[in-house]
Amino acid sequence: MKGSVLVVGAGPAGMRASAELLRQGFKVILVEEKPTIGGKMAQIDKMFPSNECASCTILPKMLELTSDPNMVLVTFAEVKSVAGEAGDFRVRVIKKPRYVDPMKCTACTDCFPVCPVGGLPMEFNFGRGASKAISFYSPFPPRKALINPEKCTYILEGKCGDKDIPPCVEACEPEAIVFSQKPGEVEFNVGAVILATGMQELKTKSLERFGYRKIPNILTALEYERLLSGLGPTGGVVTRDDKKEPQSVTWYVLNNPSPIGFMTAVAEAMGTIERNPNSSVSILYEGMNLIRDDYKSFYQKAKETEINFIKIDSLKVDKGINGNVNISYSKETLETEMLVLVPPYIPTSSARELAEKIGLEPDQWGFFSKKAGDTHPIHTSKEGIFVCGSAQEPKGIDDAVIQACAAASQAGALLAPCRGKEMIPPPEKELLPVKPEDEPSILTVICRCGLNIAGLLDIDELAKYTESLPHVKHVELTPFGCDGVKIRELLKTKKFNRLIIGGCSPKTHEDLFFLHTEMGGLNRYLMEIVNLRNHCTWVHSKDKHKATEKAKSLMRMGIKRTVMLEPLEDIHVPVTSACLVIGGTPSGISCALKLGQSGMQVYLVEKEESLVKIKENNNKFVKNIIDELSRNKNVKIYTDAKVGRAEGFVGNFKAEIVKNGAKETIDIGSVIVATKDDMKAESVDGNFENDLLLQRDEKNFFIGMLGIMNPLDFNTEGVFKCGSACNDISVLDAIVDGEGAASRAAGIISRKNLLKSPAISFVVDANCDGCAYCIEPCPANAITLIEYMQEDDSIKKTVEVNEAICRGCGVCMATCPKEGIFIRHFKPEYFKEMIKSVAEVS
Amino acid sequence: MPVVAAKFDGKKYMWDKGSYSTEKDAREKMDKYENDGFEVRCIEEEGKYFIYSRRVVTEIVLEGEPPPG
Repeated sequence: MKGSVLVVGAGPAGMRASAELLRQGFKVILVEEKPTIGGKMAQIDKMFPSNECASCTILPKMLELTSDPNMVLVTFAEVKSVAGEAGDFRVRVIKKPRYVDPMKCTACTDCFPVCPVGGLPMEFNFGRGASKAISFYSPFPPRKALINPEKCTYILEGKCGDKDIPPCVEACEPEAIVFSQKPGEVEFNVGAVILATGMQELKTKSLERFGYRKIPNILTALEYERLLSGLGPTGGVVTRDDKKEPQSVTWYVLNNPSPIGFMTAVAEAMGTIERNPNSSVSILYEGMNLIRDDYKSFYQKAKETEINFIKIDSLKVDKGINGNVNISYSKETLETEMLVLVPPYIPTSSARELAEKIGLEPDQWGFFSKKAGDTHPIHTSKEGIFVCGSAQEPKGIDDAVIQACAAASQAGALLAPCRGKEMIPPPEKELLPVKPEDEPSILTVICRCGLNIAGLLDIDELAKYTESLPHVKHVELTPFGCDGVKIRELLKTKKFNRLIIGGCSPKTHEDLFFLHTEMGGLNRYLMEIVNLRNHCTWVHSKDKHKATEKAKSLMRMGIKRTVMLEPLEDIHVPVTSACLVIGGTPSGISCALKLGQSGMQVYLVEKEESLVKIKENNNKFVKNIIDELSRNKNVKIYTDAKVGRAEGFVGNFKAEIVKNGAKETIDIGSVIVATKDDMKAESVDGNFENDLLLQRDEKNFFIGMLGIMNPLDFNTEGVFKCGSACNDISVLDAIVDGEGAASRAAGIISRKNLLKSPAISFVVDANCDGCAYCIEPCPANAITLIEYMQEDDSIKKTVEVNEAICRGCGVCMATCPKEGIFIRHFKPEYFKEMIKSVAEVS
Repeated sequence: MPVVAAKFDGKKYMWDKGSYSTEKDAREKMDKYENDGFEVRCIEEEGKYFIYSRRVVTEIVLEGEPPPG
């Protein structure tokens, strides 16, 4: 049996399955057919129903994944064969030639301007935009150049213009260009396979009935996404083929059993109105099939805007005047400047080929087949080969993420005996020794971030201003600092002992910039992020001058703080390898079973007298899971029981199980809530929902963490939700939810230690007199009042912080009247200096 | 000069600000503190003995002016 997994497809599902497996201790081989990763999510602008920026969300995750030493990323490649059986598959992968050695290419782009073959349509942008014969495939990782063999004159004719040595070769300092490169074949031995090959728009002849590829200014929804995207060929400005910005755009959602098409149209229409509030926007549809409450809410929100929703039975499209499109429906006519067709989604063509190669018969729609009678969404007809995301059926990104977690859970349970066996430890950190008294030497990196930042403020003026500030030794303007290339390169010169980044939000990018900072050889806590995107360009998008002035102020404040930062060391916290699952629901039992099969201790608590009494028990899957649970020695089932108080923190919780009035306290590393039923044991002292800061919505479902990529997470780290705790869902979906939550928990409790941020409370003993004002407000109950003796037999007081429990929220710092306690990395003097720096100028 | 606060077995102890010349003197003081319900620890540095103590307060009473705002 092998401790590694092959994941095919690097869209959101494949990436998430890979990330989950790495967290659980399995090596991953991720194969992607395109030269860069991200799938369709990298091509779209905003995600529904949260309206989050897709590329801002996925890019940091891409970079974190590709920086993991246990991740083998094989892009521009396809799986040739999969032989063997569950636990021991032999996989052959064919790598297509890039004609550029990715190990040598530094993404400097020096080869691009010298290439004489230009104006080539960009595949990533569906033919829009222009590139050279040597180019990047997309703005996403891996940022390595590649040569188009069908257009490169040197490959086609043996000469580049009149030159025998192509100018790209002469321009390439690291000698990365290799014209002799041939397709290569590599073999991997893995224990399981996850297929995450995604979906594509159905662009058959039937679309031509609606003028597609026949009449100008008619495009598909995915093509339109590239026009909306700030990283697209028009920098986020929607333009027609004649460069005109359309004042009217109409969507036609072709009949489709999935709600994804309709939701895509709604999201795109809202994005269009956001850019041009005066534009006339209509959505024509035959059906919407909105099955989820949040989809319905998103639609309701859209209805409150100026979007016209029109239900139709049929549609006729004709060429209009001035490049416009004439639409006829139900005896009505509409002239629009742009028509966006939203076709049904089908499995990718490569998925169908792959199904044949590995012996999985496609079903009638072309999706991967299953064993007769097995309707589990993740299963295929072959044991050890799982499917997730839109390769299973079209779905939204959050549902794809849940399935990816479930697939990782299935693979993890199968390969549990080999967990960690193929993992290599992270490389030793070699960090520049920095003392607080050292003269600060600041490297400043300002990201252009497409038009997100550079398009909405005067970035050159900001750079010039920043360069004039004290201690700033160098200012680097970079297209995307988050790719880490420039940051690492400049830090490795060892000329800088502080780093400040003017870019995106720390909320989404801090972990990534921490990683780049340490890969450059600087302690991560000597890095500061100034959020130019959210705080300047997004909120002041209509006033470039004000956005620039605010950016200057924020940079000045950031530099004041950066100068004072001190290196800190992470805290290692041991983990309890056990999990509490609350609720014997379909999601609860499937979660418990997967964790039990993965070799972890599980405590499953159900308020009914017996699991067989749960209402879904007549379901075949539920029956099987209950049977298997009764045989699994790792799962301890408490029926007729509830949960009392809970305390602790990720990796180390304590909880009370209350049965027949008796309390049993258990130690667990993670908690999963799998029911919306009241599972609280009556107590005057409190209950686990309050203890763990869990909140419910108006329908009594639990409210999770914000963000489409976190559908199973609570805000309290180490606590997850699934199934009927989140929503009314089918039994099968609940089972998948439960398996997904099992993966989230396994990513914590399969580890021996967790790293905890050192940005937690620190008591200044010289100032603290034990007044106790900080104790009660602490939400983590991390502060204890202690007394101690003085030599003269008087008694003094102070407080003690439990570092393992402290969350670094800063409530204690805010309540202390004597500056007797602060959060490391957020000292009061940092803020004083920052505020002073604003006051000094104004 | 010893540190004001020190950790022993993961718990915070505070120095009593005294310096004891002999182990016997320190022991006597420690016994006294222990009799008053304090946990105690002693370290030796350059021939001198320093005593650390702690006692968890279970009944919390707020003291002094509350924080502003």
